[in-house]
Amino acid sequence: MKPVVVVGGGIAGIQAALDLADQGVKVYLVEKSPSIGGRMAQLDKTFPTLDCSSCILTPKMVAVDRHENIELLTYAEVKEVVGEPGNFKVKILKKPRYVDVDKCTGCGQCVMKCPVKVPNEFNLGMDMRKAIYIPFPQAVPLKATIDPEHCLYFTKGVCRVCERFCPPKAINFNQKPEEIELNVAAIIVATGFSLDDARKRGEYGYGKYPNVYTNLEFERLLSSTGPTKGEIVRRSDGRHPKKIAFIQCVCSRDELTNKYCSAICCMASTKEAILAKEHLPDVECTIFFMDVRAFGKGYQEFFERAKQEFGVRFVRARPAKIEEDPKTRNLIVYYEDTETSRFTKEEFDMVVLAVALRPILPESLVKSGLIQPDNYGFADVPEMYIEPVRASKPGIFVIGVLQSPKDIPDSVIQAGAAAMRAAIYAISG
Amino acid sequence: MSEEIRIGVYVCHCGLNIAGVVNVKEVVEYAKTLPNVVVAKDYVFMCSAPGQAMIKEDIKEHKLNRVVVAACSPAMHEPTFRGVLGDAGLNPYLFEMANIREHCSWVHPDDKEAATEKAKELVRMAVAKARLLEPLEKIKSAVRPAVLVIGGGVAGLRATLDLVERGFDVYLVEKRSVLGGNAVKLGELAYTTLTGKDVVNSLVEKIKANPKAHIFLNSEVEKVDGSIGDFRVTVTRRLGEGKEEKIELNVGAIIVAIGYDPYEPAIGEYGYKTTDKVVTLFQLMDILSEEGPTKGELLIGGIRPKSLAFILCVGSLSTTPNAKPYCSRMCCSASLKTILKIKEKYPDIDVYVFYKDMRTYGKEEDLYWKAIENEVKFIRFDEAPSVKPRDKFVEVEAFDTTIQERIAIPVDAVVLANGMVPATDTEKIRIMLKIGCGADGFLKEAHLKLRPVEALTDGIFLAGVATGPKNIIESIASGSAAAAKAATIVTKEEIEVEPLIARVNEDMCSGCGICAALCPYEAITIEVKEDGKRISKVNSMLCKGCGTCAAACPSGAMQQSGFKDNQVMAQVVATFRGE
Repeated sequence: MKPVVVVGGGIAGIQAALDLADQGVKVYLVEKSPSIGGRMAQLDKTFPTLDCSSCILTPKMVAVDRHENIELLTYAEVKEVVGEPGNFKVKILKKPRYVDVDKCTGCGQCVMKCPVKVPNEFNLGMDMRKAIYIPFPQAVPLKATIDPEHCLYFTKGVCRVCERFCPPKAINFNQKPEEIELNVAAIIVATGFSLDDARKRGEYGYGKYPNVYTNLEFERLLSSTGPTKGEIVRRSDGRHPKKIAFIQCVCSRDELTNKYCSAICCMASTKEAILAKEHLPDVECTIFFMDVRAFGKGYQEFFERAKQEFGVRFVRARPAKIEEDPKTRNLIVYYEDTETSRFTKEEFDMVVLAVALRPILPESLVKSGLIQPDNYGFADVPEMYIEPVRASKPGIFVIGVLQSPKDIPDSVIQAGAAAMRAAIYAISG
Repeated sequence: MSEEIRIGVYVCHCGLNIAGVVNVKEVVEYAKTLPNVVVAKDYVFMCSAPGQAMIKEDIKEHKLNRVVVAACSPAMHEPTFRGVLGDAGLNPYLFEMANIREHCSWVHPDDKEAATEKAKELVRMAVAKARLLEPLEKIKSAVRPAVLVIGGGVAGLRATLDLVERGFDVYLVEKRSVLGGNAVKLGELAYTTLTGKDVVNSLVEKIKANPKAHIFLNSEVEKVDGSIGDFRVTVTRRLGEGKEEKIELNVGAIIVAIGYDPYEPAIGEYGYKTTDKVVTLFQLMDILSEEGPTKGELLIGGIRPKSLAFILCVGSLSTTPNAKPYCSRMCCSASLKTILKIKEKYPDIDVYVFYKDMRTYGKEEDLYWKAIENEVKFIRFDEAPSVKPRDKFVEVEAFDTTIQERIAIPVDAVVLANGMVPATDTEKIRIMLKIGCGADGFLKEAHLKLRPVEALTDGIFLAGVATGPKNIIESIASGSAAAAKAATIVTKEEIEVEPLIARVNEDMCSGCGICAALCPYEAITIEVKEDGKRISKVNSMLCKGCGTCAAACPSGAMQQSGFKDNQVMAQVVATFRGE
């Protein structure tokens, strides 16, 4: 039996790795960042069950780490793939963490002592991390990583304070990149998504008005591990908002940016509005939407609950623009309510933009033609009716948002499907 | 049993989920005062790797032989912490969890002091029980390397093909005389000239060529006994002339892919069956398919319509008194796909779409853009439109919310985009397999987000629309996903199950049989020994540890491992005595 490589350690990649490993197939799980967990680790709670996202994800992350059939390659990237189904050669580059992971206990002493502050990507730059860091409290593996672009030793040749204070002496500034070559039967790619640049819709003022947020930023505001420890406060003055507007379809269903629907935002915003109400019982939440796409199991029921139980207001409108009151930093939303044909403007003190999902295509696999982008830039699935997770090349599987916008359950189902198909190559390999 | 009891207590902050309400430090200090507690600590996320490492180290350093974690629900992290004990060389069942999140901080956010007191009481109860815990061993059983698939629609076919290609015997049971389910009648699919039938045929050809596949048509599953790894299944096959045969199968896992029924509108609902000019979307797709009644010609009520009105959400979103509250997911896209195929073949047709919310999610939004480019007219309603059959046409009337006006449009025919409802067999299958279903009537998955193809009963998996509306692509993917889960079981030679089950003290048992009559899982039988003594017997693979028998046993002979009478009593006493 030959192993399988899974690229991307978000929920889709994690589930695919577990479904393969539980079948007795050896799996290499490759993740480019220092920890697995992906986007789901950044969410506060999930719709429609309002499960705490970390609480349901962490056991899976730990299971990956503990599984005897899974070898975790974090902080690593696929550089090159050649071969045929059943026999691919995969070149993987393991970036140096400058920390000996066998020695590091994740105690965090180094992080405390490090003098350099860097915008924290896990919290979307809304707070700072250090130049040596552990991305989030539940990170797997729980190991420190030195960011050489900001570390004083790498930029100016000084400091080395982490080295002095590390109890198990795990810091190693001489670590070199490591190249690993694997021979595998199949490859599952689950490289996920990032948000599109909300500044493309300049009329909403993201990046210009401090109290306009992306929905992922708002998730971090809601989270107890976020930059405000779970307090919803305005960027401009640290005050709790009284009136929040959620604007749907920002860079989605849009001729100028992305024509497709991002599939998750209606429910995500509904959930965020409910959570805002739970955090701040007096806050008023309004969702500006085009169609409520509550299509999944339990979603319509969730939408009804948001309206009836939590008093979330839904307005069928695509706002034309937002202006800022320079004194209060409040935001004036101009819109036409299409259910009354009335043009109007309304003041809010916080705006959350539901920004489109953009796939992250793995360059090395696109370059070698193993994955082909479709019209929108997602990974193409040419035989979608019979093999809904197979990429252009047999033996390569594409799952999760990489192949089309989708929610967590659908990503998990595709992960299972890819694991099944890949296992068939593994046993005959 | 003179071993000294040494308990470690670990209190989790769960970020702010617990620590935002409960004074965690105070709970730790309190725990230290409890008898047998040798160490008590808190941490921000006890389930994280450093939290786990801390417990492991303490087990060694403080020679702990019992561990109590005060955190979330055991349903969430009991397996995690049992694993920690196992890794540290301690029997995993010498562990007790106090749920101070769901049972405390989440429900008392407004009274921090009282919540802290309650957390202490919950810890005290857990410690009291922990003192009496006993080591337990997992129960092992052999696995039959074969799978039963119930339902021969696309999801069941995909699951069957995957598992036979993976090297397992599959018994595919289909109650109809042909394979393919509803998909064969869907005509041409979106973005392709492939038909539903083509998809079915390509799967069926490969399945039929594989000797591992055993297909039973005209057959129904009659009875299922046994449990994960070893299900015994009775199938009845109809042979014609009223004859039947019974087939006995033995499988390690079961995949339920029983599909759906198209929603059947009531007579008169949107004019349905009061005129032949009103058809459902499923009927229209059949009309447009080559094998359909008109060989693919668009003929409704005997005429080729020049104008068509589609009404969406028929049977869904509570649009009519008969309609279901849920969204049927595929009807928006299926309607637009069908409209585009019609427009391609008959460009002169005017099409009106009456909709509530256009739910062409994801890349299917493409169909919506194309429909607009093709001058399909969209009319949005809140109140369901009314359909009035006239002599030569049908009038559809609705309040258009966009232009804020009531409009009436005469059309040659009306298409009702009917949704999906649970298959008629769902209830029968649910009872037979002892699996759950939700308020919507579809089968219930073990976890909506992360375990979407697993039933609540071990060894049983769910594929396709059995759990809720899906399109063909999604159904096929879920067929493969369910196959993967089944494969994780049948690849193993033996399976382990939790030892937290009922056990009989044979000396005390009088064989009265109360337990056997009450057991909801039919796990208990009464055996007669050689000396004539009647004894209750528990099938450990079937027992779910629900505790019904232990609660009902008049003599106390039946005890639930992990919840023995003395253990539960200790908790009760600790609650009220407040030691």
